[in-house]
Amino acid sequence: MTVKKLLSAILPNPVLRWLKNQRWRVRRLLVLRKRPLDPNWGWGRGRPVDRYYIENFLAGNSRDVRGHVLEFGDDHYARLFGGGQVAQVDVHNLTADGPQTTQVGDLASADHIPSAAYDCIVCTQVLPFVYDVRGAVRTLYRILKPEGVMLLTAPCIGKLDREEVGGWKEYWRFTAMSLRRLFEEVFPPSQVEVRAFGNLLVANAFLHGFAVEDLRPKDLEPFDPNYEVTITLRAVKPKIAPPTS
Amino acid sequence: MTAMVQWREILPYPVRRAVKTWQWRLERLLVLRKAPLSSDWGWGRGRPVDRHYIEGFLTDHAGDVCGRVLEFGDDRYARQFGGSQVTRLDVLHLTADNPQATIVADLAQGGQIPSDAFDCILCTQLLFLIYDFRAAIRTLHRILKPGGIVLVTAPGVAHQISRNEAEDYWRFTALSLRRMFEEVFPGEHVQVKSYGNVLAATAFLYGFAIEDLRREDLDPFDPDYPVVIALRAVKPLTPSL
Repeated sequence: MTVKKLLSAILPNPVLRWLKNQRWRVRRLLVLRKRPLDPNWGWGRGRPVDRYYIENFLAGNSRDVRGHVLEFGDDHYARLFGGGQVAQVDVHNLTADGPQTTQVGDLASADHIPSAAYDCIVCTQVLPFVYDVRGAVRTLYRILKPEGVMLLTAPCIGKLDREEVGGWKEYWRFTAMSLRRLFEEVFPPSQVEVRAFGNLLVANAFLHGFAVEDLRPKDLEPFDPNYEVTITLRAVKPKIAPPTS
Repeated sequence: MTAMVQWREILPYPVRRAVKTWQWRLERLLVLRKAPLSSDWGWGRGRPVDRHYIEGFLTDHAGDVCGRVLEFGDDRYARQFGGSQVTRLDVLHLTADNPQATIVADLAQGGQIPSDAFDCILCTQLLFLIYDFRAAIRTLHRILKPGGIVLVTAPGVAHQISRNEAEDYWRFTALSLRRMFEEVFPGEHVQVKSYGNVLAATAFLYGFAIEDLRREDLDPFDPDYPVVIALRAVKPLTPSL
């Protein structure tokens, strides 16, 4: 700071401006890269950064993963966090491609799934791929048993998923605000807990494909609401369901 | 690059691993920063990165900005890109505290905005702040004259708007933006284009200004990292059934 003051006292303005520009040029060279370090969200280096938040969230609510559980894509998290508490896992997919798939179809118009069927629904990073999000949230509510728990995560800042695996196409990214409002339209607001995670360092690390293993907990833990990377939501269906219109 | 890979192949595995670990550490040190380089998204030193794409899109479609024009918040882009082609200019704002506003309305309800009124609507970085964006798009369609054009931009990979400034709900993709408008406008009247790449996305988050970057940094497009998604839709002359 004192060096800065000294320089600004001695040097003429054009030189100062030139120096300032050089500083930005150096910053640009050091900080900005044309290509991500790992194009696969960090899977090439370890676990992608968002998995830290998703898995911490599920670990913190693992007591909810019990009984009859619904998961999407595969049964990985239901088995990992539910363990012996889980009686049965159903796996939902858009198409019948996945080997573990037990249910196929669009979540927004899922008449094929019976109502009040699940004690727990583990829905990680699925909502961006459903065009009719409101319809999907209504379905999730309908198929939960009374007192059943919805554990959901959704992304905001991050590389887009355009691979269209099994017909999934990415439509949306959410904020804590939209996720809360979407679920409060269906669940009683007192039963909806929303939390967001992320900060500037993590957002950029995620874009570049750094892995959790590249970062330290003290990089990952601080939360800055300007840079939401992962949003988590826990919602409970009330014991006596209010009549839905 | 291939020479380097071959050079590494000769090394024994533990050494190779150590080299890789140190390379990653160095990359982390150089690339990742905790604090933004500027806290005002770049406005202090110039214009934020997303403005490059928004203004680029509007430059490409400046010919559409004519006749009776509606803009939101202020009339900056209508004046900049429409110039003398603009015969009448309206500014819409949600609340009455904006001195430039000629129409105070909520676009998602929008009952008091006249139908078939505008030749061009400039709707930059707005829809993502509206919870019921579908209703807002229906309003946009209703208030356009037949043959009128709406130019829309929305953020993709971008930081959040501070909570005290506005409610920030959605990030769209090119797919969803197209589908949302095709629910109201005929498909062949909707064009969508995305802009951005990983460098631009990180530069935007860190608060670099356009003036800190070069065109060759900003112009390449990588669909995995859309910073801005832009859309042009034309209301057909004959109403669809």
